[in-house]
Amino acid sequence: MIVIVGGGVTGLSTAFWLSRQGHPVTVVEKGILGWEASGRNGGGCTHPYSPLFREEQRLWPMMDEMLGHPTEWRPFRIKVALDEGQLDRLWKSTRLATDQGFAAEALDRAQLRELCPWVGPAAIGGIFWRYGGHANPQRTSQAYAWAVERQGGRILQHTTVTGLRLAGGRAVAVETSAGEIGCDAVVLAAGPHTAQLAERFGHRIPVAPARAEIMVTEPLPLLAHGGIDGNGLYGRQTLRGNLAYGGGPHEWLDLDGDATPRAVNTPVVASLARRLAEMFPGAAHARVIRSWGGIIENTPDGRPILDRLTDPDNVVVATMSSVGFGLSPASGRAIAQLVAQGACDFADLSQLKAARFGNLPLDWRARQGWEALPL
Amino acid sequence: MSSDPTSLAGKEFPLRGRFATVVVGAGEAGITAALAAAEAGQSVLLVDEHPLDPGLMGMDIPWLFGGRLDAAVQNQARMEERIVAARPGLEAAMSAGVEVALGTSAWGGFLRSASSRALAGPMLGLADRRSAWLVGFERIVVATGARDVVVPLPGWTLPGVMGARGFDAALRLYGAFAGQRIAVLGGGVLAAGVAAAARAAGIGIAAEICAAAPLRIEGAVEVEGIAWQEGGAWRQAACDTVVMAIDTVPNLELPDLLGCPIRWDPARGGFVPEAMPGVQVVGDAAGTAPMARAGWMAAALAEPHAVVCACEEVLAGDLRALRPPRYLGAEGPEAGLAALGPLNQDQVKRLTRAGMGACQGRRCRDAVHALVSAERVAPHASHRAPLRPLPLSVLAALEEDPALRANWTGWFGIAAQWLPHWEPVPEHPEFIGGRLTAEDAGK
Ligand SMILES: Cc1cc2nc3c(=O)[nH]c(=O)nc-3n(C[C@H](O)[C@H](O)[C@H](O)COP(=O)(O)OP(=O)(O)OC[C@H]3O[C@@H](n4cnc5c(N)ncnc54)[C@H](O)[C@@H]3O)c2cc1C
Repeated sequence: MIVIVGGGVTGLSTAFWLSRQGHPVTVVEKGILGWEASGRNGGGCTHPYSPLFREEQRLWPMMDEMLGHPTEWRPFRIKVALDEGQLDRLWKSTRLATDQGFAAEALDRAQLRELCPWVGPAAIGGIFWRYGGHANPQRTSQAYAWAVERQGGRILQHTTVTGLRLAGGRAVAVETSAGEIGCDAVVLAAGPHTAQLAERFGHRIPVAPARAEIMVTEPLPLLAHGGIDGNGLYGRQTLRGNLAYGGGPHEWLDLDGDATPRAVNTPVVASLARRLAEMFPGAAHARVIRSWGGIIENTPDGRPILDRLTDPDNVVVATMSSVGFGLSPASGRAIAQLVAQGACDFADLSQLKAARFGNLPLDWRARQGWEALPL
Repeated sequence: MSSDPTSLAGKEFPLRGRFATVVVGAGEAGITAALAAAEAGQSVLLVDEHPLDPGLMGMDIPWLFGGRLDAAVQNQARMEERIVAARPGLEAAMSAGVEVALGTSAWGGFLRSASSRALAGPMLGLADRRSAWLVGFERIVVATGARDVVVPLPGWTLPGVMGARGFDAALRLYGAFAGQRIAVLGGGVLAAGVAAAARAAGIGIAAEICAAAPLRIEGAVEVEGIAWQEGGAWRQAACDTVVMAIDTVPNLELPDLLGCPIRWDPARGGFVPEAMPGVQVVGDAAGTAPMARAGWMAAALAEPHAVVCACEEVLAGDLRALRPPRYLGAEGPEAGLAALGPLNQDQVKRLTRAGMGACQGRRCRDAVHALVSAERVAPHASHRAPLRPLPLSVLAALEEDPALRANWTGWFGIAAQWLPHWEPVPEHPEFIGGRLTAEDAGK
């Protein structure tokens, strides 16, 4: 039995790939599946700086069929720049993908406005990424889960993992609020809680939780390509037509034991609206109908930790450091390989080991300025 | 060590005034609370969203107006006069020194908490038709009254179907009710009050249907009549308006947003808020009459074609099947709702879109809750800012700390995150991943 701790996209995708190959899996989630960052993110699927990028791009077009439920994935991204600085930075990140053989085209204002009538005279141009995409976070999380169950895997919701029982250098059981589950292997994919769970069996996996916010408007007429953003915002037009955008200041927090902090909103939602209205003056009449927040897992260098430990040697630690939704089809497949064969055969994960933080000072959060403010 | 410049730490939210007490809702309970605070020598702000932006009335916010308001509501100044006339306590409050802001909606409440440590103190987000702003407060009194409950009866989405609160506001607050002959649904004091008010105003009453029965609201493009079963036979009556006076619930959006505990208490209408330090809830917002909708809801929801969420066109059958929205052209899981385990209305919302529409779920919230509570009472579905649908341009007008703008970043601003992860992280003397320069942070 392979026990997966955490029912976010990382854990669920891992369970999907493992159960697809016939491995018995149990996913243990303390609350509702996809309830945390995995169901609350911007839905972006475009990560050219990741070694999993190629696989991310290869897998998304197949996911609906493999999962048997729609993820609302759509291809491509369009980037809008309001000044030369923005355009410059966009080209910098574009080159990360074009260097890997993906295509991108410059757009002038007229072309931008043809793709998106709300773009105003302030836009100086943009870029059409013939790669990347976006999907619906909650629907994707749920689709993984139903596919796992269809493939014979088991999912326990409202069950909290409290620790691992070790014997002879291996994890032999996962301790939960509903009793022990015997295991042959464990995947720790508990998002921001990964750190404190690892600490309980003597491992230091540095992760700091932060809160971020998104706002969403009423539906507007559908664009041909909804994955359009810029001006310091990430987001998309949903397939229903809503404009859902996030970005801006995050807040560093502390966990509340096993509980995830309340993902409240602040007046930052108005700042999101302001930037959206700057980017899309033609949509400034659209009414904002909702906002939400999510709690994000962050490692000190902003990069994932995907690592099979040596002691206990049947535990894989998997935390994505704030960019885990889009990569999830690929990260789950990579993690499944780490569990089943000890190494990933389609991507170079050598830089994503926990050992890179071996000399991390104990007060790293304070040094980074990442500590939660006193209450 | 200095804090992360791209975080919320050290950012300010400029306030347009600070008050010892703010009172939201200028009904009887709110005016009484505001007067008491002013008489105790406090600085008091009393806000009320009426007169509403006619656009919001068209979206049935905050009550179910069902399009039965005449053109008078377009004239804001006239509406303000009518409101002051309808609520004489307002003048007394003003003379007692209460600052009164009509046509001003409270769209957000923000407290310092374990999840929002960077906020300096309690703030209320306010907006009129042009712009949004924040005020600071020490104590807030929520007096937002009750909200209409919509039972998804056949034909309820036709213009001309309104709620008891919507009817009362159209008739007595705005003096702008546009109907002539009404049918009243409901068997309690609420329905009796609607009938009495209609009679007093010389409005014809076509039918009073007191108990849940097979029923149809009829009309091609708007309400033309109602048909219902009584003693085994169908009866019919012509009318231009149907007033659903079946039930109301406490309007607890703001307490929920502020983090007040929310409890299920059918003896007080359904979900009710509890007070919190600095947050007081008074009047109907704290609890209404005992819940009276169960029988009506059960009968209406038994019909698979009942339109539960009109904004997103979600039928009762779609909810039970957990069917994705129609534009996806897909089926739900074989087990339907049972595929989720213990039901949670917010989760069901994200999958079916019921309650996700432009009315912010006001019209379907109680029906969806009844449907997902068939086996056990589901938890309360969350409310989120903005509590009123506000145009981007209105929210965009909120004054912003220049430091927030100067340090704006799309995502965390960690330099190493944006470099190839297959290469080692460049050494950075101060911060492990390095920080993007302000110039590069906009990504
Ligand atoms: C506002 C926002 C916008 C974002 N935008 C994007 C984007 O556009 N693109 C992108 O790729 N990424 C984005 N992200 C990041 C992305 O959402 C996360 O990286 C990703 O969801 C992480 O998935 P996860 O499964 O690793 O963690 P989580 O989703 O946090 O899941 C971990 C799960 O573990 C459970 N758990 C924790 N402790 C225990 C325990 N003791 N026992 C049992 N279960 C436990 C939790 O309840 C949780 O459900 C965004 C995140 C947010 C919040």
